[in-house]
Amino acid sequence: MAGTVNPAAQPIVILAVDDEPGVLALVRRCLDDERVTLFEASSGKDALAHFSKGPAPDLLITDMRMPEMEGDALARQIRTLDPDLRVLYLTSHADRLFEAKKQLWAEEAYLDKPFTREGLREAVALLLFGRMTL
Amino acid sequence: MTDDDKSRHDFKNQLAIIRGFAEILIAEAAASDPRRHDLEEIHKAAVTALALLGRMYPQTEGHGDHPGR
Repeated sequence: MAGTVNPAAQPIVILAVDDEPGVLALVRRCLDDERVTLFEASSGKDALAHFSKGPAPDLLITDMRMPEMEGDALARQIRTLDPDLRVLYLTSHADRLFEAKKQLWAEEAYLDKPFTREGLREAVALLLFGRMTL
Repeated sequence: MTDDDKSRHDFKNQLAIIRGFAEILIAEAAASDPRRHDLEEIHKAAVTALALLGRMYPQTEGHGDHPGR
């Protein structure tokens, strides 16, 4: 991993992208934490618009399967602007992720849906801080 | 993605949302909360429905609640 985010640096900025509002609401609830500033987007296009306006996220959480632009295509585009961006893919079927993407980058991980609050928080903590707890 | 794939994906999403919120509410409910049992029933039904979906469509099965790298 190309360096971890300093846990003391506040806030943690996360951009969550999913075309299902209920999943975004669940992500919001799971990451309800005063250290976390969560921005939400309902599509890859919305996410790119957010990214161009800022603030730059420390972590992108994205659904893999979305209409128009899938999660890996979104991550690839944002990575051209921010190569160090960490990415967590939410996927209903990891095998499909690897059909689209043969290998995850060092700063990437995936989490199967359905996920638990602890599972999501653990994945975020691992990607951002290299530890198990947020 | 075929229409069937999308339907399964969307259906699984809805069950995941129900399960996720139920789990959070159970964790936050006091042991004496009279609604706790009802929440546990909602959670159990969502878990069962997800398992049924997985049996009907094994290709929708995930790999557990741990991040993969």
